[in-house]
Amino acid sequence: MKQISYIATNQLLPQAISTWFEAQNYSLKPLSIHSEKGHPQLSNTNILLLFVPFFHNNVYISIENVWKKYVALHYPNILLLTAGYIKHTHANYLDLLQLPESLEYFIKHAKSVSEFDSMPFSGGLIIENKLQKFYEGHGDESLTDELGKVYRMVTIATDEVKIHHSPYIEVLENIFQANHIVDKWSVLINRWHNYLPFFKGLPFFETFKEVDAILKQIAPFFEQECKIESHLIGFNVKEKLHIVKQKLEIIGRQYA
Amino acid sequence: MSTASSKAAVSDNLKGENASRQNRIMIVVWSWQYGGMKEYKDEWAIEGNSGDKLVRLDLKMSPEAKDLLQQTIQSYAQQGDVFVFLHRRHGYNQKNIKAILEQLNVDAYAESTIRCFLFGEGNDKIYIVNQSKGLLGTRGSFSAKLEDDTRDQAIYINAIANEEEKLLKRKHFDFVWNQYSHNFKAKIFELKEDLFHSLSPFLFLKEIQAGAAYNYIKLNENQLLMLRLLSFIGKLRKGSNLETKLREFEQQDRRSYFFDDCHINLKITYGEQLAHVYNELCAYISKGLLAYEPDFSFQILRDQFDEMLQAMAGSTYD
Amino acid sequence: MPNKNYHILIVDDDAEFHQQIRYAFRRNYVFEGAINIDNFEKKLKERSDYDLILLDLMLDDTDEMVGLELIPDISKRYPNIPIIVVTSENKIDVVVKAMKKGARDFLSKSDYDFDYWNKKFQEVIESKTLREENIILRQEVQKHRDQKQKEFTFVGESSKVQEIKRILRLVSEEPDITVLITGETGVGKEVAARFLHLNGARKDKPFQAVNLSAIQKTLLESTLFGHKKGAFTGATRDMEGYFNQANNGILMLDEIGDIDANIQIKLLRFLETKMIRPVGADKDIQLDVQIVAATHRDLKEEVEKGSFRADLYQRLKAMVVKIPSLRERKPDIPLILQHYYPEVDIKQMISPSAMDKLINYRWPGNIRELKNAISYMQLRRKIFDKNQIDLECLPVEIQEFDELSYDMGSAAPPEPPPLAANQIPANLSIEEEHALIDLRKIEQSLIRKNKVKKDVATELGLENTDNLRYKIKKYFDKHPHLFKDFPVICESYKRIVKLEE
Repeated sequence: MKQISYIATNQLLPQAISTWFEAQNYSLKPLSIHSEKGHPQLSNTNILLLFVPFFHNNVYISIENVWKKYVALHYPNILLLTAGYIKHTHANYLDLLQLPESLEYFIKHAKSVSEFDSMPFSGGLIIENKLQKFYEGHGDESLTDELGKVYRMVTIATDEVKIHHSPYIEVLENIFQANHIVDKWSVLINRWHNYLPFFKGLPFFETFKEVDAILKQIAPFFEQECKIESHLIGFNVKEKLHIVKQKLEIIGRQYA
Repeated sequence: MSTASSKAAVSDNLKGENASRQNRIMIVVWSWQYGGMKEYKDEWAIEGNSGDKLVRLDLKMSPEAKDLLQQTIQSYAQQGDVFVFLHRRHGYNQKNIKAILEQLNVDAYAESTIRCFLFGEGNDKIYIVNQSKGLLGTRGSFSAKLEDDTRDQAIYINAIANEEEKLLKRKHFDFVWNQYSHNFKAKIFELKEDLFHSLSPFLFLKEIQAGAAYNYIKLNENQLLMLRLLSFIGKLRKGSNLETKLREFEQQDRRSYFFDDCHINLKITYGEQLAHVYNELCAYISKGLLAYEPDFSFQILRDQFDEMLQAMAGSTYD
Repeated sequence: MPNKNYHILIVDDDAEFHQQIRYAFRRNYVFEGAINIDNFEKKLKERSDYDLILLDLMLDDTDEMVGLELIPDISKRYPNIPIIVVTSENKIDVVVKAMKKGARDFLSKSDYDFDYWNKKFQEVIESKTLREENIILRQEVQKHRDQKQKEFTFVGESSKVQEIKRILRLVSEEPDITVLITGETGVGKEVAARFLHLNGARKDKPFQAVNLSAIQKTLLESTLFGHKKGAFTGATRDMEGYFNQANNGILMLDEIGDIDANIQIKLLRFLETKMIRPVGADKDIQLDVQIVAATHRDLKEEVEKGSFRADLYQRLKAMVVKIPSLRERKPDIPLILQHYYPEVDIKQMISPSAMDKLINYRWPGNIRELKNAISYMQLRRKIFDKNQIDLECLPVEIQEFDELSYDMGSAAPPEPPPLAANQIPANLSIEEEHALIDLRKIEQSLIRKNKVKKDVATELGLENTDNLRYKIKKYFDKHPHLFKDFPVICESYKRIVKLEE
């Protein structure tokens, strides 16, 4: 029996349809998005099926085209399929209300990701729009803009302390307090928590989780209103923010 | 389709496409006096010097309140598009909405879109508690303290830009407006997806016997689906236990499930034709999913949902 | 360490950003700030010598990148102040737009790094200094060009000159056509070529003029096409030739009728393929050079004689422009005189009788001769301490020129009368006429200066006695028969002038 890895909101639908797949000589195996090193374990996968739209955070999210990009970039030989309740004829789309006679035949005629521009739109929230806003250079919805501001202030302060040996009280007043870094950190974290749930069904969610963990590590420095000098250096706040920026930038360059 | 409603529909469609937008006014009937509002009514401007505004009203439902509300809507409809938000706990229901909207002289406001929404219990998108860019906080205020398990610390969110100048933050106002512009479409889309998803153990059976779907929906574990369908087709009686139960589900899931404001708004906003499609869909759901109808097709049900969603201009989500 | 005296203007609506940058770079630069466009304008009015502007693209609450629109205007009004765009908007198309509009570099606000930013500030400020030096150099070059331009202005309003100018303008619209300019010696063939350059598509590209007859034959190929190091004795380094130097522009080859067969072949090859091969090189070089050839010779005749290649002549004669002699455009003579005497009113400076003589003289050496005559007349006026140039100041051949007798003479009478001292035999070629006039001047000067060659050279406006010697040798090589009437020259230059008995 051939195997198909799948991603779904929960197990209800895959379990219900597994009988049909088995009758077609295919077995369904859930794929964990949350694997090690920021990537889902797809190396042994030949066919990946997404049940779309992905429901999370009380919103239906259309994740299919980010996955399409991801598969094209990292696993171009994987056959990517989607399944849902929209009515659409696409070589790689399974209409759950009108399943094909032969899955074998359907798979044989499905196209590789390099052969088509996009997956059929599953009708939910277009996650690319969220990513775009997340990565916008400026504005009330940009996370990277706010992160850039916090990073700049922390970098200036760290340079002052480490290189120029300026008194910390002077740095605190001139950089952190004069520029309201605590408020900016609060805005940054608030935006982060608003965005994070939307990205749960995405292939690079593990990276977001890593970023979340790093932000938690340095949060005490800001919660103490940046007043504790040893936190700035001891927590490696600048270096950690740099890692956060780098991790997010890699995703932004490819998907935003 | 009546002249009035067709005009309104055309007007709305045009507005959906046009980049130049007119003033946007929200009239929110809520417990504002509890939060410190001195009079029954006041007006807040929005950052950015536009004609957008939020009108606060604290009026419990009564014949006088209804007239006053109607006059208020009429006067603001001359200034731009109006979204009216009515708090269920203030005694408003779909009948009130119907009465208010139907008595408005739509022809006089053909240039404006008027929509009416019911809200309550903190789970609608107008609340800050649901999305941090909402407008309504706790107890008649524009601010809220957010605490949940995704955050280590509570976050304090305030939609006010300047209290003295009675100025609200633009991003909060825009967020709510955009959410409600898409509100009905998103809710109907979500119902459709949830419906098919819930029915999935049953969808792929080789043979489906007549009435099997109804039997399945009647199961206790599918009660939420049943109640949402009843609300959608307008069969959830006001004040009934079932209504209370659905409200409990809303609280539990932090989602908005009620469709009590849907029907009349669809008719007023999108016109008779869409109302007709809606009625047909309701009828099909009634006989196929809420009764023992032998001749029922999930594909037809899907097509009817799709027809309705496609007829509603704009995207599903902002 | 950067110079603390460098002044940087930050233009950004985010006051906190100003404060952060001032603080971080306080040891390195002096900062001023503007938070909106009005403020920015005010700052520039107060001080226009900032070393650098750091410009944000978003300068108000709208999403419009107003900063982007400011760049061209600021660059135009303050070309010496470089702009670095410093913004949160880091989309690649925005970066490209900003750079296209004139920004010198781009920094992303979210990628702050002291060392990197400091390096960028320094690079741009230093390139600004280089640019300023470059501007001064360019101004020098332009000044030099203007001088050249003045020297080579195509002066004249006669119908013949207007017609020539019209033709040259039409020809100048064809930047790839080969042009042959003909005309007597001294008519201004280079002036015409420069006119073509100035009015054509290649006007901002180089113009090189080379007199082929003035270059030693053995060096001509290397001079024109360049050479590689070691190509011949004395080639100690690679050298570009005139063709390379004129790349993308115009190369004027004057006296093309004087080149030998070897150069003719190479020139023909260039005209056909646009390729040259420097002496000693093993590869061809592709060039884009428009050739303007000139000659006073009758090339058709040279082809018939076999001294000029017919195929090259065919190539060159595609567009022939004949420049009229000065005697054919007499109305232009006062204008040309005025051109060379810009500071005075020529009618006041030259007496009417002298002007008549100048206008009616035959000018066998054309404008070149007129130019020499001007120097001569000025000198004579000073010597005689006169306010005005009169007949006495004119060169003797002009003073004594008899228009009537010349005209009669040129009507070819059966028996020419004996030649007056300054008369020119009618059967001479233009070249011979020119040589004769020059030789007469030299002869007379030698007599006046008691054969002191240095004084003669000075009187004739030559740089040194070598030039005088070269001139005599050139005439003797070409026209030995003319020397029999110049005994003083023959005696003074015995080694050169060896008349057959």
